[in-house]
Amino acid sequence: MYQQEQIQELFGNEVLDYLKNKNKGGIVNEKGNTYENFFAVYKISVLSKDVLENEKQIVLASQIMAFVDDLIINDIQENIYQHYQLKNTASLTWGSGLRSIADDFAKQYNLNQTVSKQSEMTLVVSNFQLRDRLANQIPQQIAEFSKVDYFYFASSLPKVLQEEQEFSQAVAYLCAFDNPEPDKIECVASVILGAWLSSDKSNVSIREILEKSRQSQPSYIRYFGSQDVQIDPEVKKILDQIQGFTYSISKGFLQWLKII
Amino acid sequence: MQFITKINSRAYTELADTETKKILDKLADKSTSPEAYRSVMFKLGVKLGNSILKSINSQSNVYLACTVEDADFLAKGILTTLEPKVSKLAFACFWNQRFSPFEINELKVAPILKKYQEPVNNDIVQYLIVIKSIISGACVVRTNLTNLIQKIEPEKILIAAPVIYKTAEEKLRSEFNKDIYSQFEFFYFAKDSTRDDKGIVLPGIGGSVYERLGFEGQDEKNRYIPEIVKSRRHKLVQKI
Repeated sequence: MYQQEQIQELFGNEVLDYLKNKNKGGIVNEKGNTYENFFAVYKISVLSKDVLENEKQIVLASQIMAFVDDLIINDIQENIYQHYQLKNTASLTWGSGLRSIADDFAKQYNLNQTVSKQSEMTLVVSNFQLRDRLANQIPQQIAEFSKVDYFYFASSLPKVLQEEQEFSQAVAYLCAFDNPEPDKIECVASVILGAWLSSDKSNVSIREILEKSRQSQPSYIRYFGSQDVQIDPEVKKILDQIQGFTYSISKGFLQWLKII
Repeated sequence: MQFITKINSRAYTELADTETKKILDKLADKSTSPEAYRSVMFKLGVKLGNSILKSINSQSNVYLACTVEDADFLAKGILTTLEPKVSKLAFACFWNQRFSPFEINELKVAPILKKYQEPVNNDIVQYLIVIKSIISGACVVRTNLTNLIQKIEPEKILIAAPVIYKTAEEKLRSEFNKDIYSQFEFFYFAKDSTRDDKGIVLPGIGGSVYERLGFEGQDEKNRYIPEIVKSRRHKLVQKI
């Protein structure tokens, strides 16, 4: 995404060393069930509809050589990089100077300009009061392209899904069933998380993550084709004869109910 | 839950009498045959059922839920103890597939492949009892309980297992909001504080419950229809 030479040329050796250490630390400390990864699954889920229905090309990156790299969404058609910095803490300031969030945002913006990309920077926090305070204090020099968002924090994905309605609704869209029960939503989200964690997070498209997720057994992820699969007429004949048995074909899955 | 004795990495609760401890030893003993293991699970179910009976109002409606592997053994022990002593008892059985997506051990998910769920009609359920042979990561119990409370609004939720892992209670509570976890009451005989590198609780229930009960792994247990499900379904059909 970015060349070390570009960074060195733009900001000098001290900043390059800072980025190298930052990147190394991020990779070493990486675990699966983290605030950053849950947020990535949320974004993947929310953006999937556009990817599947409108053939939107979106590539993700994380923990790369960049100033704001918890998650980077590269919207290829719109030529924009959306950068997310996540902080699960109760106290935080924008700060100033090298290693501060404000400076990281400003430098990231400059770096994106040199690669002819538009920028959008978002600081994501897990505390409403903190979000409001930081949103009111965005430094002037980054205000034009920066904002602050809230995302719920919990140590387990199902708990996050319970609290973030938009997240669970987006996952439900990807699920094979209409009105899926919580266990199916959790399964789909966990499978996407697994696909994300086991992908090359420096450069992977949402479509690739979704295709990979569907390989998991079970995945409960919908069929991605525009036309649903058809049931074999012979099989249909047999199923139709079973008393108290109802079924439907939806998004590539057969769902059935047998009333006693 | 009060603890009265602690031996090595296991702490026994006040519910565990001398006979129960012996039965638990048999469960942990790798040389116990599947047939004997099933019988031991049934006995532990009866003992858990008797412990629960002392804590609940007999004039109440009870909903009992278990997983397929426990249905004919542990759950049957509890069910046969409780059913004649309470106003009404309904039963649910879940077939879960527990797995780690992309073999990432940190991720655990247990979707419900299918379920057998008896209707409660419009009855108020005083006690929802969720049974499991062992509770460690609490993933299966959480999944099934979340499913059950979509349709049932119990006054109290009892979580029953012969053995639990030391963090299981806390883990399960942390997955629910206070309005739900404040209804929890746990019933177990022993709490173990050791797990091996595969996550199996030691001494626990002597390894993987599927194999110990005689199933050839998860896929086979998910093809199994418990006798208790067959017989209860048959009785329900006759009532309609």
